[in-house]
Amino acid sequence: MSETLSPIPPDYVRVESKLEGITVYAPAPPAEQIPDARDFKCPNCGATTAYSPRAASVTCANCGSIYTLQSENVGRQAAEFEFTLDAVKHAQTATPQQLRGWGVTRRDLRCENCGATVSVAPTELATTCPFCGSNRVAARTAAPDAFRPRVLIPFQIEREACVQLARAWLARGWFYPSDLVHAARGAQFTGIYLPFWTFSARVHSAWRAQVGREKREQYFDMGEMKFKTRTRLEWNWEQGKISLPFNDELQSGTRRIDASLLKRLAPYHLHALVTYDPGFLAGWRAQSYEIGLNEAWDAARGNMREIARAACLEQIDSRHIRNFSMNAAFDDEAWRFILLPAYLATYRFAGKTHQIAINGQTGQVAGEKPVAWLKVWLAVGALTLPGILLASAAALLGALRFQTGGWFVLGLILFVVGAALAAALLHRATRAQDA
Amino acid sequence: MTNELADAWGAMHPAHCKNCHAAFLVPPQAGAPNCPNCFAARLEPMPALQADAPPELVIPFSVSDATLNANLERWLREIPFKPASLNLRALQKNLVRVFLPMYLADARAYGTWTSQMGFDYLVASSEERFDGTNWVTQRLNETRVRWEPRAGELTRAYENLPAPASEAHARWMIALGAADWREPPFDSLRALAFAPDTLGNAIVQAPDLAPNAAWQFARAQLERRAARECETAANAQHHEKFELRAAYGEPRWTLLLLPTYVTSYSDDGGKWIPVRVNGQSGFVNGIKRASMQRAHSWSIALGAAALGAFLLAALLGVAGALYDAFLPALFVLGVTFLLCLAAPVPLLLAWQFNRQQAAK
Repeated sequence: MSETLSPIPPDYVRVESKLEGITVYAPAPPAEQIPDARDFKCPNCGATTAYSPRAASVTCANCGSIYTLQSENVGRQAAEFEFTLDAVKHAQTATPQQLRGWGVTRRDLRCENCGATVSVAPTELATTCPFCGSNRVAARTAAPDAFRPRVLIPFQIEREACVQLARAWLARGWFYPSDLVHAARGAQFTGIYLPFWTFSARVHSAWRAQVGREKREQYFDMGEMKFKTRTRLEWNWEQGKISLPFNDELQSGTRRIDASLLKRLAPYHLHALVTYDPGFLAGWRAQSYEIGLNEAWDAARGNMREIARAACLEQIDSRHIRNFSMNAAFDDEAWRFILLPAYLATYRFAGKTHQIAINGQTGQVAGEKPVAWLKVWLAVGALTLPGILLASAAALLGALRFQTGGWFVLGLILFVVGAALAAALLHRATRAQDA
Repeated sequence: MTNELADAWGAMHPAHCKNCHAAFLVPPQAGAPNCPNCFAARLEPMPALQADAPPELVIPFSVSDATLNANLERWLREIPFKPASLNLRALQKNLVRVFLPMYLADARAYGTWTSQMGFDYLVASSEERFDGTNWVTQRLNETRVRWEPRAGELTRAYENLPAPASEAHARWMIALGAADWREPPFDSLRALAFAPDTLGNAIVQAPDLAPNAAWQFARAQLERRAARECETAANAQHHEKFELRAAYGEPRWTLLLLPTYVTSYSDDGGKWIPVRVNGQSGFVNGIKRASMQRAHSWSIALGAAALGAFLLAALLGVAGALYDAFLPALFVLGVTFLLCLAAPVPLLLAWQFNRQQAAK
């Protein structure tokens, strides 16, 4: 009564057993050799190395050596995490110093090159030694594995290209100062990996509302003693269901950059997501998240449910709706923490500082551009004055008993058209100024 | 029969069924009863039993007469057009006490195991409600299962592993209320040490499976228990794909007797149909059959009544033609119509009931 005993698989490690007489083995957790911090020095010449978007590798500017990174393109298939109670609890209980704490608690990264200790904010993942220029990357910033960056999109736009992109963007549009384009010359672009959360979920919604439908009916008007047609609204309760998938909805994890500016940097193409390697951060700045998982998820959920609401309302083929109610049940919720590349810079123009940002993957530029209001008002004048002048001249000549009625009407039409164009121009200029 | 066996069984004599070949020990006062196993033949005396050892344990009958009668009555209640022999008195008259044999095995296992273990974990989710102006969020926690491979070593002793001692064991266990025949519907902790006087006047079915043949079933039980224990040891809540590769110590066997009542009734064709009752829980089980003959008689009676009513309606019609009063004839004609509709109902009811029982 015996069988050949099979051994325990070699990659298993013993874990706690709750019963005497039975031992339990589980697969050994993958051994990740991630040091707390790593210096990037060329093994060939000892110079400082950094990630180069052109070579898509860590390169040495001194001897030209190229070091390939151990990373793979995972795109949208990158591992996602569920909202386990552990993750939610950690996101709730982590202290502000641990997660946000910008400028409050700092930690020391010792430069192996020159021995200097560089003090950085806890949200900074990478730094450059101010004394010797050595690049240093901190790999572990948060306790749970899921809360450290696991995937990122590497820089694909080179730093040198930023000034050209900024000049082209500043030169675009005629209602900006003519010499604005020269302001880009002084801009110092800093490449930084910004923290983002991605959220996926399926939202099942059921709605109910009273929908009014227009009915045409005939009635007899006793006053006029004849049949007439009128339209009345017939209200009925209607209901419907909808199921919407949301995949990789981006939510910013930083408070340092204006949300509208980040929105205008979009889109980021997530098919280019690669697994994290500290080498991608060498020579670049990187920021960990300041907006926690729960706060970001609340915001993302708010967006999702509003989209679901709009989709429910779209199902109703009438503009008469009242007592609308709906629910939104979330299912298959998942999240991940990613880093996305961006260049940030400021430039000075007419004594004021303006922010400019460039998408490090696509080269999309967004930022503040001062509006040349003199140009705008001259254009407004040029659009409205012909009509005013023509109508005024026609009115004056009309008062002198000339037949100018047609010219007066033409002047009025010109004025109305010009005023409409001027209003649109002003609106556009105001929006550009606010942006 | 050896002397030891003969002492153990007391005055009971061996008998067997020529139809199903099951062997029994019958008390002298029982005469030549119907085979409690197949009910197709009477038990006939045989020279000796092939049993190896007498039973060690017996679970006593613990259903009172009142409970037994109430359970039988409840079982009878749903049957329409019962056969003549299917009534409480007849069932009580045919009632026989039978002890069924079952082995309990004790064994030690030494080996390694592998399995997929399922661990419950909670995930935070939410459901939101829009009331026309505001969103109200309700937080929810969902339980999900994370499957992970586990392996390990096992050195454990297992006691009282049930294993069949007769070929008909599985059929009996299902009939006596087991959802899975491998989990007998009896509480073996209430078993008493065997003595001939604990049998009373019950018939005892002799084991026809040797312990060696029953080991495969006991081993399957051991593996099921081991799987549950490994799940506990791994602190998991579920398991699947459990595999145990083990060596087993020589098992120790105990023969246990399980109490059952067996009664029967005959259907329209005179075939005896068994009804079995768990002697510990009182659970009643048996094929329920409506009598098509009785249903047929009822249908014929209703058809005849319809015919009579039709003739009466015809007479009243003629009389109505003479006296210009058709109302009574019309009324009787209506009754005739209703009787015509009702006539096939008994047959349909009995046929449908038997069909449903056959499907079960």
